[in-house]
Amino acid sequence: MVENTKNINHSKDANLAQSIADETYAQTVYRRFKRHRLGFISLIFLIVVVALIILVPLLSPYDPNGIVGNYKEPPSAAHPLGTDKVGRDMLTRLFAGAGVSLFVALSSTLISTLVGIVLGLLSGYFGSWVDIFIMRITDVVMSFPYLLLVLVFAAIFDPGMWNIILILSFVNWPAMARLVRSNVMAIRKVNFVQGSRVAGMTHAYIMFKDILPNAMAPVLINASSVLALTMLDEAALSYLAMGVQPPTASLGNLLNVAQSFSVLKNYPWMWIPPGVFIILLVVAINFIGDALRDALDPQSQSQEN
Amino acid sequence: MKEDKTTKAPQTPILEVRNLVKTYPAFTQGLWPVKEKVHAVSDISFDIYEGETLGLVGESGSGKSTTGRQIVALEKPDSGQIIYRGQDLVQMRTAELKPIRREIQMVFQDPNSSLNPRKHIKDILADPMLHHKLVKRKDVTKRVEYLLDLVGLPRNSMGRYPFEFSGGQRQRLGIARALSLEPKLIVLDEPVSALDVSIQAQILNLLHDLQNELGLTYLFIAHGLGAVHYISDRIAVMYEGRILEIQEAETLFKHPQTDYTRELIQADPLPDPSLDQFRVTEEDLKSPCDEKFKFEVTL
Repeated sequence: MVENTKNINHSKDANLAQSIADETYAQTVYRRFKRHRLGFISLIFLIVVVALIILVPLLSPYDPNGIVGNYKEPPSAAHPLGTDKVGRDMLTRLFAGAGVSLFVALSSTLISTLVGIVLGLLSGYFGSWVDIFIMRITDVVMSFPYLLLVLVFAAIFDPGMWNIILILSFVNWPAMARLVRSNVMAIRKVNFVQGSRVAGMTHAYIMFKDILPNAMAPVLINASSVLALTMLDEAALSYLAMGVQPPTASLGNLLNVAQSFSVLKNYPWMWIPPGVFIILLVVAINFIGDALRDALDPQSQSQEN
Repeated sequence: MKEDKTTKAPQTPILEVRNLVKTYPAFTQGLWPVKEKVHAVSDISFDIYEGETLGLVGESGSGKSTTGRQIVALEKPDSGQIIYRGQDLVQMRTAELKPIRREIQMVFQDPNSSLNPRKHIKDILADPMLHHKLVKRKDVTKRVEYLLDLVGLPRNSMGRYPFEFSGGQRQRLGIARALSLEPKLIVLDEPVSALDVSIQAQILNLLHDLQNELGLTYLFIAHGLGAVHYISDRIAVMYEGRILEIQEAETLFKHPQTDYTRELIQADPLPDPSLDQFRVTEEDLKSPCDEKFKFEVTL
């Protein structure tokens, strides 16, 4: 009897091991990601938020930039989060603004990551003067105080959504390029890359098919923290009126009104929701980054196997 | 196994190495380091004949792997020639080199790192063949199946990832990858020294069978004489960047020319007790604790 159950357990384990062995890399990552409860909850939260960002402005009877009621109206059935200083619906603006903020953060992260990947790959793979040239550029960019550089750029170019995206991309690509470079330099010495060279494969094949897929884990993890940082930077810039310009809403420029003490004291519905929204989004993105780190880290993988 | 080869027609060299030199920069210790050259390979010459296995033996740092890496054009020599079927590979441009590169392949020591962990076995084997247009896209699956058959792996390995295989199986895949380009010469860089002893024999047998079946030429690099003795027709002994001697395998064991070779022979347990009489005993060595033996190099 006891032995029977043992056998059943054993075969169960064997089945599990077999199904683990059969799964693809993406499935492995997903399974390991799910184990990180906070990260998984954050991912669901982010998906819900994105759905709301798309749905709320569509379903809302109000134009996010239109004056639709009395100014400084407290929350009511018609305006669940009240209205702002000029009478625009805060709920509609909150989700429209979150959409703009996420868009800025995502596109800036995407641009800086792509630029960082390409330059990091070239730098790490070819070495010599290519490496020296690219690394000196990163040194120059990185040697300026980050926020000051962003503010100066925002002052030189007209503030606006696309300029913010480009400015934030410009300050973020060097760190990504260095990260990619150091990984590439380690991977290019590994035997399978040498094997591809012996086989006469092209540089492009070796860089993008051999090296890059093996360097993606740290890139994704770093991209998630860059995403959280750019959300905060956009909020900071827009709060200082150097970012996304009204009437277009962003989480940062919604908070702009909180510079006035009377708003802080008397009209909490104007600044608490966007403030809390920023915190929740950034925390969620960071948790997702943590979960990604655990899911992609080859070391924790080897422990499991 | 060695007998069937000695009856061969006059030997033509497939690869001639002439006066090969490779140095690496190094810096002296101290406050103002001075750049110095360290000779990894200093002026070596040898031939590899069609269809033979040349064993290249030496300790770590003797330059044996550097020699192998230069032959497959992973590193560029400082000076000297590597002549493959009459053409000097050192002087060639990358574009000219490409079709020849295909004919000289390499099997690495560590099978765990010689396969891209993010690719299916099928792609690992197929991509180089497609790149060199050795096979049409529609025939790729058949060709990969043939390669897996050759190295004795099941055909359903195709859809799997490298981490799903054992060390010995991975080395079989590494050999299949080298074979996929239909090479004439394969540089085997310590192909069995990372494997279990029981697996080592299997891989050596496989290499031997493949050589007979496909008419391959091997440069077999190893740090000891054990594995080399079994598979090599001739053996070259390297020490500190130079070749001390090149001999027919049997001759080398029976009449080693240098003390260093004798030491190497003694270091490996010999499967054939009749060779034991040629072993160096403790008394033959002046002082076994000498930090370095001084060798007379006569070349």
